[in-house]
Amino acid sequence: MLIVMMCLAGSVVALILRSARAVPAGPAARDDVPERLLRWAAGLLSAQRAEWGQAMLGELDHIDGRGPRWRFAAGCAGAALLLPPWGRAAGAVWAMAATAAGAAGVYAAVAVRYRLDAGGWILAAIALVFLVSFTLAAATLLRRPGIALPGCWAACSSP
Amino acid sequence: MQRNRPPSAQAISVLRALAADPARWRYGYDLVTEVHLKSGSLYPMLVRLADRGLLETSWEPGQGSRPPRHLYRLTLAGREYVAALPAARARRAVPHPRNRWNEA
Repeated sequence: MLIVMMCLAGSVVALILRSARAVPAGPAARDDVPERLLRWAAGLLSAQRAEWGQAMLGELDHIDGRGPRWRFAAGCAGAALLLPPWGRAAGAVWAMAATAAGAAGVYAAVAVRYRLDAGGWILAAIALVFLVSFTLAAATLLRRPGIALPGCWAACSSP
Repeated sequence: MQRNRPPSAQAISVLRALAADPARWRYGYDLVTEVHLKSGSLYPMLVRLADRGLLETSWEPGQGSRPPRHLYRLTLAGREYVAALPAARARRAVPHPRNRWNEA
Protein backbone atom coordinates (compact mmCIF):
# COMPACT_ATOMS: atom_id res chain seq x y z
CA MET A 1 0.00 0.00 0.00
CA LEU A 2 2.85 2.34 0.86
CA ILE A 3 4.40 1.66 -2.52
CA VAL A 4 1.12 2.47 -4.25
CA MET A 5 0.86 5.73 -2.30
CA MET A 6 4.45 6.65 -3.16
CA CYS A 7 3.89 5.84 -6.83
CA LEU A 8 0.80 8.02 -6.92
CA ALA A 9 2.56 10.88 -5.13
CA GLY A 10 5.49 10.54 -7.51
CA SER A 11 3.15 10.60 -10.48
CA VAL A 12 1.53 13.78 -9.22
CA VAL A 13 4.90 15.47 -8.73
CA ALA A 14 6.05 14.31 -12.16
CA LEU A 15 2.89 15.64 -13.76
CA ILE A 16 3.33 19.03 -12.11
CA LEU A 17 6.94 19.19 -13.21
CA ARG A 18 6.01 18.13 -16.72
CA SER A 19 3.03 20.45 -17.08
CA ALA A 20 5.08 23.37 -15.81
CA ARG A 21 7.16 23.05 -18.96
CA ALA A 22 4.09 23.42 -21.18
CA VAL A 23 4.20 27.24 -21.12
CA PRO A 24 7.77 28.25 -21.87
CA ALA A 25 9.46 30.02 -19.01
CA GLY A 26 10.77 33.51 -19.51
CA PRO A 27 14.49 34.03 -19.73
CA ALA A 28 14.72 35.17 -16.11
CA ALA A 29 12.10 32.83 -14.74
CA ARG A 30 12.87 31.81 -11.17
CA ASP A 31 11.25 28.45 -11.75
CA ASP A 32 10.04 28.08 -8.18
CA VAL A 33 6.81 26.38 -7.19
CA PRO A 34 4.59 29.50 -7.33
CA GLU A 35 5.80 30.17 -10.85
CA ARG A 36 5.23 26.57 -11.91
CA LEU A 37 1.74 26.70 -10.48
CA LEU A 38 0.95 29.94 -12.27
CA ARG A 39 2.47 28.70 -15.55
CA TRP A 40 0.28 25.62 -15.31
CA ALA A 41 -2.84 27.70 -14.70
CA ALA A 42 -1.93 30.23 -17.41
CA GLY A 43 -1.70 27.34 -19.85
CA LEU A 44 -5.37 26.59 -19.21
CA LEU A 45 -6.51 30.05 -20.33
CA SER A 46 -8.30 30.34 -23.64
CA ALA A 47 -6.32 31.79 -26.54
CA GLN A 48 -8.35 34.97 -26.17
CA ARG A 49 -7.02 35.44 -22.63
CA ALA A 50 -3.49 34.09 -23.09
CA GLU A 51 -2.02 37.58 -22.90
CA TRP A 52 -3.37 37.92 -19.36
CA GLY A 53 -1.59 34.76 -18.33
CA GLN A 54 1.68 36.25 -19.57
CA ALA A 55 0.83 39.46 -17.70
CA MET A 56 0.43 37.53 -14.45
CA LEU A 57 3.67 35.65 -15.02
CA GLY A 58 5.55 38.84 -15.87
CA GLU A 59 4.27 40.47 -12.69
CA LEU A 60 5.14 37.47 -10.55
CA ASP A 61 8.73 37.76 -11.69
CA HIS A 62 8.94 41.16 -9.99
CA ILE A 63 7.59 40.01 -6.64
CA ASP A 64 10.07 39.05 -3.97
CA GLY A 65 9.51 36.97 -0.88
CA ARG A 66 8.09 33.50 -0.58
CA GLY A 67 4.80 34.52 1.04
CA PRO A 68 3.90 37.31 -1.38
CA ARG A 69 4.87 35.16 -4.35
CA TRP A 70 2.70 32.29 -3.14
CA ARG A 71 -0.27 34.58 -2.45
CA PHE A 72 0.02 36.29 -5.82
CA ALA A 73 0.47 33.04 -7.76
CA ALA A 74 -2.35 31.25 -5.95
CA GLY A 75 -4.75 34.14 -6.52
CA CYS A 76 -3.84 34.42 -10.18
CA ALA A 77 -4.07 30.65 -10.67
CA GLY A 78 -7.60 30.71 -9.24
CA ALA A 79 -8.49 33.62 -11.48
CA ALA A 80 -7.05 31.84 -14.52
CA LEU A 81 -9.22 28.81 -13.80
CA LEU A 82 -12.36 30.93 -13.46
CA LEU A 83 -11.77 33.62 -16.05
CA PRO A 84 -14.33 33.45 -18.87
CA PRO A 85 -14.43 32.47 -21.62
CA TRP A 86 -13.11 29.13 -20.49
CA GLY A 87 -10.72 27.34 -22.74
CA ARG A 88 -11.58 23.74 -23.50
CA ALA A 89 -8.88 22.60 -21.10
CA ALA A 90 -10.20 24.71 -18.20
CA GLY A 91 -13.76 23.51 -18.84
CA ALA A 92 -12.57 19.93 -18.90
CA VAL A 93 -10.57 20.43 -15.69
CA TRP A 94 -13.66 21.71 -13.91
CA ALA A 95 -15.78 18.88 -15.30
CA MET A 96 -13.25 16.33 -14.08
CA ALA A 97 -12.88 18.03 -10.72
CA ALA A 98 -16.66 17.89 -10.37
CA THR A 99 -16.64 14.21 -11.32
CA ALA A 100 -13.86 13.48 -8.83
CA ALA A 101 -15.66 15.44 -6.10
CA GLY A 102 -18.86 13.56 -6.89
CA ALA A 103 -17.06 10.23 -6.67
CA ALA A 104 -15.50 11.25 -3.34
CA GLY A 105 -18.93 12.31 -2.11
CA VAL A 106 -20.48 8.98 -3.08
CA TYR A 107 -17.66 7.15 -1.32
CA ALA A 108 -18.10 9.27 1.81
CA ALA A 109 -21.85 8.64 1.79
CA VAL A 110 -21.27 4.89 1.47
CA ALA A 111 -18.65 5.02 4.23
CA VAL A 112 -21.06 6.79 6.58
CA ARG A 113 -24.01 4.59 5.63
CA TYR A 114 -22.16 1.31 6.13
CA ARG A 115 -19.81 2.53 8.89
CA LEU A 116 -16.48 1.54 7.43
CA ASP A 117 -13.73 0.31 9.73
CA ALA A 118 -10.12 1.56 9.71
CA GLY A 119 -9.27 -0.47 6.60
CA GLY A 120 -12.20 1.08 4.80
CA TRP A 121 -10.99 4.58 5.63
CA ILE A 122 -7.50 3.74 4.39
CA LEU A 123 -9.04 2.59 1.14
CA ALA A 124 -11.03 5.82 1.07
CA ALA A 125 -7.81 7.82 1.47
CA ILE A 126 -6.22 5.85 -1.38
CA ALA A 127 -9.28 6.46 -3.52
CA LEU A 128 -9.07 10.18 -2.76
CA VAL A 129 -5.40 10.31 -3.74
CA PHE A 130 -6.27 8.38 -6.89
CA LEU A 131 -9.04 10.83 -7.76
CA VAL A 132 -6.78 13.83 -7.27
CA SER A 133 -4.06 12.18 -9.35
CA PHE A 134 -6.62 11.34 -12.03
CA THR A 135 -7.76 14.95 -12.17
CA LEU A 136 -4.21 16.29 -12.39
CA ALA A 137 -3.17 13.73 -14.98
CA ALA A 138 -6.20 14.38 -17.12
CA ALA A 139 -5.70 18.14 -16.79
CA THR A 140 -2.16 17.75 -18.04
CA LEU A 141 -3.09 15.47 -20.92
CA LEU A 142 -5.96 17.70 -21.99
CA ARG A 143 -3.49 20.45 -22.71
CA ARG A 144 -1.82 18.16 -25.20
CA PRO A 145 -4.66 17.02 -27.44
CA GLY A 146 -2.13 15.76 -29.96
CA ILE A 147 -0.98 13.23 -27.38
CA ALA A 148 -4.13 12.68 -25.37
CA LEU A 149 -6.73 12.25 -28.10
CA PRO A 150 -5.07 9.42 -30.05
CA GLY A 151 -4.46 7.64 -26.73
CA CYS A 152 -8.07 8.07 -25.64
CA TRP A 153 -9.26 6.95 -29.07
CA ALA A 154 -7.09 3.85 -28.91
CA ALA A 155 -8.28 3.05 -25.39
CA CYS A 156 -11.93 3.48 -26.35
CA SER A 157 -11.71 1.52 -29.57
CA SER A 158 -9.69 -1.38 -28.17
CA PRO A 159 -11.79 -4.53 -27.54
CA MET B 1 -23.29 39.08 -25.49
CA GLN B 2 -21.37 41.31 -23.13
CA ARG B 3 -23.14 42.39 -19.98
CA ASN B 4 -22.54 45.88 -18.67
CA ARG B 5 -23.38 45.48 -15.03
CA PRO B 6 -22.65 48.38 -12.72
CA PRO B 7 -19.12 48.12 -11.38
CA SER B 8 -18.57 46.73 -7.92
CA ALA B 9 -17.15 48.77 -5.07
CA GLN B 10 -13.81 47.04 -5.64
CA ALA B 11 -13.84 47.94 -9.33
CA ILE B 12 -14.58 51.54 -8.46
CA SER B 13 -11.64 51.50 -6.04
CA VAL B 14 -9.39 50.29 -8.85
CA LEU B 15 -10.77 52.89 -11.24
CA ARG B 16 -10.20 55.66 -8.73
CA ALA B 17 -6.67 54.46 -8.02
CA LEU B 18 -5.95 54.60 -11.74
CA ALA B 19 -7.68 57.97 -12.04
CA ALA B 20 -5.47 59.52 -9.35
CA ASP B 21 -2.78 59.92 -11.99
CA PRO B 22 -4.46 58.98 -15.25
CA ALA B 23 -1.46 59.53 -17.50
CA ARG B 24 0.73 57.15 -15.54
CA TRP B 25 1.04 53.51 -16.49
CA ARG B 26 0.58 51.21 -13.49
CA TYR B 27 1.75 47.71 -12.69
CA GLY B 28 -0.68 45.05 -11.54
CA TYR B 29 1.12 44.40 -8.28
CA ASP B 30 1.13 48.13 -7.46
CA LEU B 31 -2.65 48.09 -7.74
CA VAL B 32 -2.82 44.95 -5.59
CA THR B 33 -0.95 46.69 -2.78
CA GLU B 34 -2.60 50.08 -3.19
CA VAL B 35 -6.21 48.92 -3.33
CA HIS B 36 -5.64 45.98 -0.94
CA LEU B 37 -7.10 43.45 -3.32
CA LYS B 38 -5.98 39.91 -3.89
CA SER B 39 -4.48 39.17 -7.27
CA GLY B 40 -7.29 36.70 -7.88
CA SER B 41 -9.79 39.55 -7.62
CA LEU B 42 -7.78 42.22 -9.38
CA TYR B 43 -6.95 40.48 -12.64
CA PRO B 44 -10.51 39.43 -13.56
CA MET B 45 -11.50 43.01 -12.79
CA LEU B 46 -8.79 44.41 -15.05
CA VAL B 47 -9.90 42.04 -17.79
CA ARG B 48 -13.49 43.23 -17.49
CA LEU B 49 -12.49 46.89 -17.45
CA ALA B 50 -10.31 46.37 -20.53
CA ASP B 51 -13.16 44.53 -22.26
CA ARG B 52 -15.43 47.49 -21.56
CA GLY B 53 -12.91 49.89 -23.05
CA LEU B 54 -12.26 51.68 -19.75
CA LEU B 55 -8.70 50.44 -19.45
CA GLU B 56 -5.84 50.30 -21.91
CA THR B 57 -2.90 48.00 -21.57
CA SER B 58 0.66 48.04 -22.73
CA TRP B 59 3.82 46.01 -22.33
CA GLU B 60 6.98 47.26 -20.74
CA PRO B 61 9.90 45.52 -22.42
CA GLY B 62 11.81 43.23 -20.13
CA GLN B 63 14.93 44.76 -18.69
CA GLY B 64 17.97 42.62 -19.20
CA SER B 65 16.84 39.04 -19.01
CA ARG B 66 13.58 39.76 -17.18
CA PRO B 67 10.23 39.09 -18.84
CA PRO B 68 8.05 41.95 -20.10
CA ARG B 69 5.61 43.50 -17.69
CA HIS B 70 1.99 44.45 -18.30
CA LEU B 71 0.96 48.06 -17.71
CA TYR B 72 -2.46 49.60 -17.19
CA ARG B 73 -4.02 53.03 -17.34
CA LEU B 74 -7.45 54.50 -17.97
CA THR B 75 -8.63 55.29 -21.45
CA LEU B 76 -10.38 58.57 -22.15
CA ALA B 77 -13.67 56.72 -21.76
CA GLY B 78 -12.43 55.37 -18.43
CA ARG B 79 -11.55 58.84 -17.18
CA GLU B 80 -14.95 60.14 -18.21
CA TYR B 81 -16.57 57.18 -16.53
CA VAL B 82 -14.78 57.87 -13.24
CA ALA B 83 -15.58 61.56 -13.47
CA ALA B 84 -19.24 60.72 -13.93
CA LEU B 85 -19.39 58.43 -10.92
CA PRO B 86 -21.75 59.70 -8.27
CA ALA B 87 -19.94 60.97 -5.18
CA ALA B 88 -21.86 58.53 -2.98
CA ARG B 89 -20.61 55.54 -4.97
CA ALA B 90 -17.13 56.92 -4.95
CA ARG B 91 -17.18 57.24 -1.17
CA ARG B 92 -18.50 53.72 -0.77
CA ALA B 93 -15.73 52.43 -2.99
CA VAL B 94 -13.06 53.23 -0.43
CA PRO B 95 -12.86 50.09 1.67
CA HIS B 96 -13.10 50.43 5.40
CA PRO B 97 -9.95 49.04 7.01
CA ARG B 98 -12.03 46.58 9.04
CA ASN B 99 -13.68 45.22 5.90
CA ARG B 100 -10.62 44.96 3.72
CA TRP B 101 -10.16 41.25 4.29
CA ASN B 102 -13.77 40.59 3.35
CA GLU B 103 -13.52 42.61 0.19
CA ALA B 104 -10.19 41.25 -0.96
